[in-house]
Amino acid sequence: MWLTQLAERNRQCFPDRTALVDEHRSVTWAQFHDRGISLAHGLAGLGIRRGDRVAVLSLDRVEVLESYFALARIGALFVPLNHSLTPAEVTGIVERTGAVAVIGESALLARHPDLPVRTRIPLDDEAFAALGAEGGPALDDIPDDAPAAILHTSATTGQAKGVTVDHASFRAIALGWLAVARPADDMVLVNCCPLYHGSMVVSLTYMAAGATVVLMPGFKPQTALAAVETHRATHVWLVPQMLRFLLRAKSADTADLSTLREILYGAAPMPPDIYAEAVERLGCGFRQVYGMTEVGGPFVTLGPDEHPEPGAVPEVIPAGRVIPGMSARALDAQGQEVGPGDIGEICVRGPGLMRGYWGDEAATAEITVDGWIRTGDLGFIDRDGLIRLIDRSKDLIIRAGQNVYPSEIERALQTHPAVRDAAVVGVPDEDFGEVPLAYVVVEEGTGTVELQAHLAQRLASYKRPRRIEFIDQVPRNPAGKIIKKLLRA
Amino acid sequence: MSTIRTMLVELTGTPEFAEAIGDDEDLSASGIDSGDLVRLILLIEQRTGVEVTAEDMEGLTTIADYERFIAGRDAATPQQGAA
Repeated sequence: MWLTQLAERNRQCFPDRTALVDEHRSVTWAQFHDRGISLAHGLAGLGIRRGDRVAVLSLDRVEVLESYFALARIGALFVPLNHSLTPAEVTGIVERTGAVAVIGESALLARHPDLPVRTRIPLDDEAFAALGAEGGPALDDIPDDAPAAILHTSATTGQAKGVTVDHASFRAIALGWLAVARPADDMVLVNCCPLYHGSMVVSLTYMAAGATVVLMPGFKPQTALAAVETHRATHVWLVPQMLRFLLRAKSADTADLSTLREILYGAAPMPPDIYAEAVERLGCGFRQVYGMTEVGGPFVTLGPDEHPEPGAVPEVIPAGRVIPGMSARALDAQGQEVGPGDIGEICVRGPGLMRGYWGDEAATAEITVDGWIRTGDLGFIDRDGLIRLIDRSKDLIIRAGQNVYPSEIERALQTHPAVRDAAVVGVPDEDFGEVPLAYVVVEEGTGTVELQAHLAQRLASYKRPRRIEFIDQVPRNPAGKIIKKLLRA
Repeated sequence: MSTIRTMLVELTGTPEFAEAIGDDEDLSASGIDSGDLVRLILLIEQRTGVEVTAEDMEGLTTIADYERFIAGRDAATPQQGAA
């Protein structure tokens, strides 16, 4: 089992070095490893067994990773929950995964008093710190093909899809990443991305190398800059829109960022102007990360040596090359591989792939073609193996690295009794890359305030439309499909 | 309308925030997107010219906190022409 091996190796090789840091405390590899064992005993003592699903609801902090690793030792699946989801959204995930328990910060648990779980475990009190201190019987080894986690992604259906990944997936991605990005035990990574997201696999790969990972409880540019300075960070992992905010903060001019070697970015395209400004002002290398939860996380990367000079940034920076152990192809609509330079849908195969969507064989079959996962991204692979993305085949909005499906917002709008029709498109936004804009046909007398309040009950804040505009009719083709091109014009 | 409420309306494009959120209500728990809260801090820096440090941010959770912070910085900044 990969996560356990990772902790054991690092305890053996670097017992006294710092493994994790958050705003409350730091732990060495020895402490992290030992806590993984004691917490596993403690959770087992609360009745959590192999195969159980356990939700985790927290901002990024050390206890979150301790919980993930402890659950992995038991063979229980961790189910990270996005803390910005509404109670209805969180309850839906807990119900669909059949989670038996939730581990979380007290304040967040209090927002969800009615979760249908057997056990609620606050992770920020003394009882949690003491959990398992008395030890317990030896735990069985968990094989690599056992499911380890259910990570959730947005979906066109409006219900987040649970991506089931096993230990082998984490291992495959980490080993591939270690081979090309070469994280090492002398590195310090400031992780600005949430641990509930598929992008948390990036942090796992740096942990695999024995690097120190600094966790941020939500992204704030000033706090991230201070973390780089305080912990003498060598690497930062963020989405491009966070980089824009970092550069805008006053402390970007005063903080000592001289230890920075690489900024890793991904989850959304890098705006050329931000990249050029960042290269000029920060003077470090940049690494693009292209990934997808369903393929195990980051499977393509472009290293600093291949990034463009700030004066010659193309509109789209290549995504990079596939990591060792994984395969990528561009396939046409018939599932045939296209030639180098020809456009197709980027598809992926390899040991990092998910085992499937939790409890949704139809959705799993839909995204899989002969063992290849369809990313929904259109692009081409050149003769040097560089993958270049040019468009999306999915109707998807990427708002600051978070995927938002217009159909989910449209459905939520249509549950309002005064809404006759609705269409949502993504529009460019300087700060967030893209934001949803809703066009709505309503009965007279209905205002945006009422509709936004309606959506606030149903959708997490990042999914809500930035603007709502009223129109007389949603343009549709003869088949009834919304003609979004007309709305974006 | 207070400075912070005006900024929130500007950032979110949603006027009801100006009236619906209490002065002492935790902004992150009020439904405002975390990205908009980041933009709020940056806007304060831009408009007031003061640097908001990571340490300052630990005490900034409500509209009243932000208002006090700005007022404190205004008071601490010597006025032009002052002795």
